[in-house]
Amino acid sequence: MHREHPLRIIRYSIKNIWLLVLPLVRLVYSYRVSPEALMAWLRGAWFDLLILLAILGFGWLNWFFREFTVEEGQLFIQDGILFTRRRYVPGRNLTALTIRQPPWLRPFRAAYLCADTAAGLLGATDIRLLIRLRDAEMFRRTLPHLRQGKRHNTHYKVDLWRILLFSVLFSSSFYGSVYMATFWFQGGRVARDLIQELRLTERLNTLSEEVAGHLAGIPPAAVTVGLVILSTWLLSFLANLLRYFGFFIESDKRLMYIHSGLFMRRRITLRTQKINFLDIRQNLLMKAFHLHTVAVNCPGYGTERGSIPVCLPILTGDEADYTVLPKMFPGTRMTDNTLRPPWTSWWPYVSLPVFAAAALMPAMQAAKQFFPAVDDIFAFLQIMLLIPIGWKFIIQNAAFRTSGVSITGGRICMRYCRFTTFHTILADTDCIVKVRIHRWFWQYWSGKCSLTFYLQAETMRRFTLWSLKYDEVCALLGEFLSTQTPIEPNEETPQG
Amino acid sequence: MQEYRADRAAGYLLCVCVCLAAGLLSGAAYLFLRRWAFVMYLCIGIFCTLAFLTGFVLTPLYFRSLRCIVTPHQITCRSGILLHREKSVRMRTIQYVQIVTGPFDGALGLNFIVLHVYGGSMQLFFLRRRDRREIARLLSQRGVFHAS
Repeated sequence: MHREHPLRIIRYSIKNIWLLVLPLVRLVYSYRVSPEALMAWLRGAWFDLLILLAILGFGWLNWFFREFTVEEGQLFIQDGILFTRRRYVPGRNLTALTIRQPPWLRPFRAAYLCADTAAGLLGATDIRLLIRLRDAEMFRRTLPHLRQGKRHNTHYKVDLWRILLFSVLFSSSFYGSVYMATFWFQGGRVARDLIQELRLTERLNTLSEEVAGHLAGIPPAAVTVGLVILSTWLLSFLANLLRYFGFFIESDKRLMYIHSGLFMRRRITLRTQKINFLDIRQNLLMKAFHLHTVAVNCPGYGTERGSIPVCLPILTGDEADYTVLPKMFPGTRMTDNTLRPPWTSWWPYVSLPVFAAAALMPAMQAAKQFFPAVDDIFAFLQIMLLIPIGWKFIIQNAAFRTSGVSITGGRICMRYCRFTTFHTILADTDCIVKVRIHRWFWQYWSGKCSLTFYLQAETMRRFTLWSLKYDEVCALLGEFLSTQTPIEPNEETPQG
Repeated sequence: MQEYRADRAAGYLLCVCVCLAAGLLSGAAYLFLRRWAFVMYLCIGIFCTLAFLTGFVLTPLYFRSLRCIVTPHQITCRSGILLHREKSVRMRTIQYVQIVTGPFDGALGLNFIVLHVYGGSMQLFFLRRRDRREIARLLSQRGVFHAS
């Protein structure tokens, strides 16, 4: 049996370790180089020290009683002092094994190990251990299902410019705000003091006024908002760059190894058989330049906040169609749509941005009438809101042209658009767990419907295609259903 | 097909815990609410009634309804007093198993088995120590995991 890295004792005691601060501060404050001063300090702090020892002792007990081992192709973990918890995770059910090594753990030769199975409801990690690095190899060595094979060995190293491009394309202000909020809430007092110390608010105001001075006609408040959005986007860009730096993927018939990260190094082992489906993502610019990002849906991969379960960060059209993607995932191919929205469905696709634009203009005019003092802000806001609406209008046009589905040879290829991202889903038809055809009452007259596919995944994943012809949907699904055998849950043959 | 029922010892333990909690809360009410006699008696009455209902009515009924049925291919758990709930999982869908044992190797009926399956989990509560071992052995025989 192995134990976690002793650093775990600190992690177990961390909630109460701040009590250490009180006697230490007292020691530093009244420190004199004399035995009398030390005794005086001990007389004052003996009770605090006893409590501290009790906290550390409890952390040590927790660590001591937490053991793990790998035997007979199974991961076994035992923990708990009064109540004993034993977990048995068969190696054949592991879907992903991640070893994360943040920079602060490197001097201690420690790393986090996350083991995942397809079980669970919310995509949470099943097993998380802080292990010694030498134990990390034991998992690969002793778990036969995580040992590399010899056939179909391909690897792909992603260049720096592709990582840069990927980070630019997939960074968002939203995730930047999430990181900032995490720093704000978890940093607590320290974060607030830092902001106060660096006089960030004042500097932001000064910068906004300066920039507004150069850009005549734009109010300082709008510039402040713009600067905040830009800085959160930059934060997200930096996080993506650091996360996917040095991205390298290697694959054989059964496994996929992914290495990435500049500061936080990640080594991920995925079971190819446990990948539910491929999700090829593009935004409008990527679509224009025939660039693709391939993500996989595999339980345990891409569960970190703000991360994409990316497998091939940036592929050109040729690489996606002929070279890299078919090599990495044999049998996978993007096929042409056999079912797509008819030309009469153009209006349902573009109606939302058109209505939004139509509603925005009178609303802003009214706002200017009611608040004439700040009409320049509303004018600016109107333009700023019209840009994303116009962008969405273009996206919806592209979505109308490209959305559709094809089911051939036991594989489904589905193209749809969600918000601003175009997705191409590639999966086995065995992965489809439910199909839903939905019709509003007016669609009975137009003969159209919406089609939703629910695919097998750790959390519910559904993909909807809008405004398809009902007869064509029935014909496609009728043919598909008639050739299908009842879907059974995953059961793979044991692998040596 | 094997049927397992909840250990009554755990039921008695819960009953004692509930009574102790009610006693402590009533004592606290006596200490801190003595100035307002009506409020104090009201609180003590509420605590005692709740303890009686929970410890002597609901817990025995719940423990009587709790049962687990193991067949070669699936495990079913039945529970509920007013609303009966039946939950089944197939052996082949179990991804990993978690066994929780209380103090003294679960002698007081504090034995729980959690079966983690696709899309969730199923808990088998308050098993006897003998039953816990037997279910673990059956799961091991079916190849769900290797019991050590």
